[in-house]
Amino acid sequence: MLENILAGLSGVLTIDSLIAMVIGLAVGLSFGALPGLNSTIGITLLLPVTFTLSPAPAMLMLLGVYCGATYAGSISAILIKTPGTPAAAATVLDGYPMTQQGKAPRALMIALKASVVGGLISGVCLLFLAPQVAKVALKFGSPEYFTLTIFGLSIIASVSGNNIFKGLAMGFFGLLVKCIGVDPQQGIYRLTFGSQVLTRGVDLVPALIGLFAVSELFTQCEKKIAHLQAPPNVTIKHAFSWKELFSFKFTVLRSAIMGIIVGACPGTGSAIASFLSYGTAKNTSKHPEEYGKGSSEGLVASETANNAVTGATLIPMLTLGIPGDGVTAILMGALTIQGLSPGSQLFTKYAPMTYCVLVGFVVIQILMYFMGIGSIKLFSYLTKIPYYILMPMVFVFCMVGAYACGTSTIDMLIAVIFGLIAYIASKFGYSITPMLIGIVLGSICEQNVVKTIGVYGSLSVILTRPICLVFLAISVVFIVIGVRNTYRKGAK
Amino acid sequence: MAKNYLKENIFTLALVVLSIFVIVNIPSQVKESLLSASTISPRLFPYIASGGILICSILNLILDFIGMVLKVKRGEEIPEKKRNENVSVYRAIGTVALVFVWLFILEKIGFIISTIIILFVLSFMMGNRNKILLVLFPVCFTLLIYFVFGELLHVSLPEILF
Repeated sequence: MLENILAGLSGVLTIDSLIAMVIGLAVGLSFGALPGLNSTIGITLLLPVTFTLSPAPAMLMLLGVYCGATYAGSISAILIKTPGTPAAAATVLDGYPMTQQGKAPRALMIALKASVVGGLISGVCLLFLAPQVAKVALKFGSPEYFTLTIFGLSIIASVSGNNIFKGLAMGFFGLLVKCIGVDPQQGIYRLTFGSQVLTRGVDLVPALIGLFAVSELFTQCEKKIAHLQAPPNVTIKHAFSWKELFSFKFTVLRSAIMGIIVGACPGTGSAIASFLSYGTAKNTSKHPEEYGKGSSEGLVASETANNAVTGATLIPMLTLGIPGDGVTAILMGALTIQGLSPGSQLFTKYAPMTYCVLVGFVVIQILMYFMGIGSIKLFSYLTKIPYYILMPMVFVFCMVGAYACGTSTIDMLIAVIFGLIAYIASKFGYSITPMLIGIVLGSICEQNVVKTIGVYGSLSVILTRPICLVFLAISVVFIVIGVRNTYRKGAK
Repeated sequence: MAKNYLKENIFTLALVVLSIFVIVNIPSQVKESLLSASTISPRLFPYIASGGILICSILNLILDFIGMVLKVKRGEEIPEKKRNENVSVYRAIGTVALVFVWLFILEKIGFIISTIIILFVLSFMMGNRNKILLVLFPVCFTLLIYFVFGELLHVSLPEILF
């Protein structure tokens, strides 16, 4: 293995590979930071460019887009309260409050360093433990996925604010939103009220844009001119040191492991990983009251987890030929176009190329750190723009991003409606985070309930499977901790 | 007290109405399962979600009411929500109306003209009084977005209909 790794390293350190990684990262950082654009669009755009490249630089370019975009989603989440990608949805919760407190540089550096470390741990795991992790991931059937989503939903108890019933109501509201459209089991239309528009359901990206960006526009517009928020100043020098990150070592390690486990399970995604990790960090923190108000630890947890997913999603794809999401499906397509097929052959017959890609993944994380600093400086100019220019600009950009999702003005309408819901809900003390968790996990939860009952006859099977029992036990503990913290907060 | 209670719980009451509306309409909106009894009904999740909203909202209303009654019994004053002088809900309502108008005219007069108009109005509403900036910013930004999405990313933005 060491020989293969060294051969891979020499393959990565060629001009071709380095240029490919830098181009991929540049595209990824731009697409991730701009709301509505994501790694899938970036990879799709660069895919034709890779046809002329040899397999290793081609894959490294696309992986650069994937990693860059996953990290860069946090930049807009922190600076303008708009997650560039769904993976950065949990980043808003503590990132934007930090910006409001004038700590934008710190938040941006925390996101960058936590992302790099999360990606590095994931990359090392991909390099050394890919076959073993793939075996564990294979043990995940629909009952395990179902209990994993229950675990995710249990986080609602911790992010409900002062009133757990308000949080739960919003969580159920999110689930209801995901019921609109086509039933995952039999293709029956649900809650469409005869509208053709509602048959396709509600996409996550327009909903995200609405919940965060559009609601923020309404909030800013209601303020009288003299009291508009001053844009934050961003200087990244000494904002957040590696030493400080080391003080969160347990949070980093736990979040990275959670990200790797979630990422290795096909069909889950980094948004789930970041919420799970955020909720776990809050429930085990010595200062849970700081979460949602600009907690560095919360930001470290969500950013480490969502980037740890990137390497782990490649494990089932490379070892078993199972693409976990849209991005890995395109990456698998790119491999096939290069004349390679995923599976054991990649680690035997094509080992030099495969190890070049695996080592390259680790190198991408290091390059991402330096390019990330550059991108922070570049995007920080956004904050110097006066609010009366910035807010309308962000609004139109987000709306065009929502439009680009389905090339339809309906997605823009969905974004505005969700913005309105979030704006009104916040006026009455309802948190939108539980609704977001409901939207993210709703359909996955239902699909796996359907599969479990279809395969095993009833849901009682989850009580006979060890992994399910572990998830259920953790969920119960988290609900109890969440309710206790909420009660204490309410009593104060 | 009743007025204050209702004012504080408008959104919760709206959730109650919404969930009842959904529960009543599920039988007509979701056909029953066509497959065998071993599969779950497509109505299950909509019922769980809307039932959950209903139960949580009612519990919230009850707990809020009990809290308010206890405060009155103890002779405590129920604090009136302070009105924020720096915030005007009418401005927010105006913005919402403006956004809906933009969505309505977008497909009729095309992306470029409609977006220049909304950017001009929004920027003015948020305090931009620089005449040059008021004109230059909407025009330049709209054309930039149109070029990036339309030409570089091949996203066909709504064109003018006439």
